[in-house]
Amino acid sequence: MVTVPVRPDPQPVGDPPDAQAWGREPAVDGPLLEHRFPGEAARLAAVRRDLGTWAAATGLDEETVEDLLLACYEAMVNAAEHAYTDGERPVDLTAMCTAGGCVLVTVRDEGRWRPIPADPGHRGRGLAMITNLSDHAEIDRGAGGTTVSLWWRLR
Amino acid sequence: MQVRRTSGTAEINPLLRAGPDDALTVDIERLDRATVVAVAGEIDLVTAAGLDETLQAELQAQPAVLVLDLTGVDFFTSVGLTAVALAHRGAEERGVALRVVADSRRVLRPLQITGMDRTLALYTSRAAALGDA
Repeated sequence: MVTVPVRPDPQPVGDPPDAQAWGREPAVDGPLLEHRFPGEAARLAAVRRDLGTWAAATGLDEETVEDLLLACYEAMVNAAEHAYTDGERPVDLTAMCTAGGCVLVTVRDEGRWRPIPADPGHRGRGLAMITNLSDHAEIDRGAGGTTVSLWWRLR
Repeated sequence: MQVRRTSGTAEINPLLRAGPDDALTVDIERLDRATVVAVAGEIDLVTAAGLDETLQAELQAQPAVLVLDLTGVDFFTSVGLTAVALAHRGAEERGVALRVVADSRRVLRPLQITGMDRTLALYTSRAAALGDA
């Protein structure tokens, strides 16, 4: 039997945010990455590579950078599926270091929450990855679109 | 995506060569009682469809054992997990023993997070997975 340590205290979606840690105020002079791209499958890999370069420079350790890239990719997959459902709409990704000592990545789309897929396990797996690979996750499904916000502590 | 077959006679599905780059490589080896599908690279939203088609095609041949070797995978997304879950279902329907080889954190963590490590037959090496096959 193979075991790999999983983060001991994954924060479920909907937990009240810790105002100290999970803030959105950017750190002074912190590195910022902003991408706006069409919600197409073929565009996601390039954004992921840029995000990887950015994240490696923040001071996050290598395994956390791996987790961040996977969680953010899952958020982009969700966003691309929304964008696809609604026609050609952009997806916005923003990555920053916050004043509270975290890395915050947000992925925002303007599409509708997509209908239940043919394989209902599929969406569940994506959400499980988003919440378990981040220190804290918030998903805001508004009328104007969906925003996924993911935090990692800079240790 | 590149597909290389080291034995076997099936035509390569043109869909499997349609990736924008060679982010995913699939090697298929057919033995007497087992088929080994070895995957290397990134299983993402673009490449997962090719993996799904490959696995479903190999299941059609109903080998006694289908070994899915993921040791070369360095990016394993939920779309890839879904392809494995569908292969697991297809294998059970056809009486094929699906055995998954994984030895890295990058592959094992997604399997653990989604609970799939509890339902799949997991091995840490291809030799162990081929064992009695």
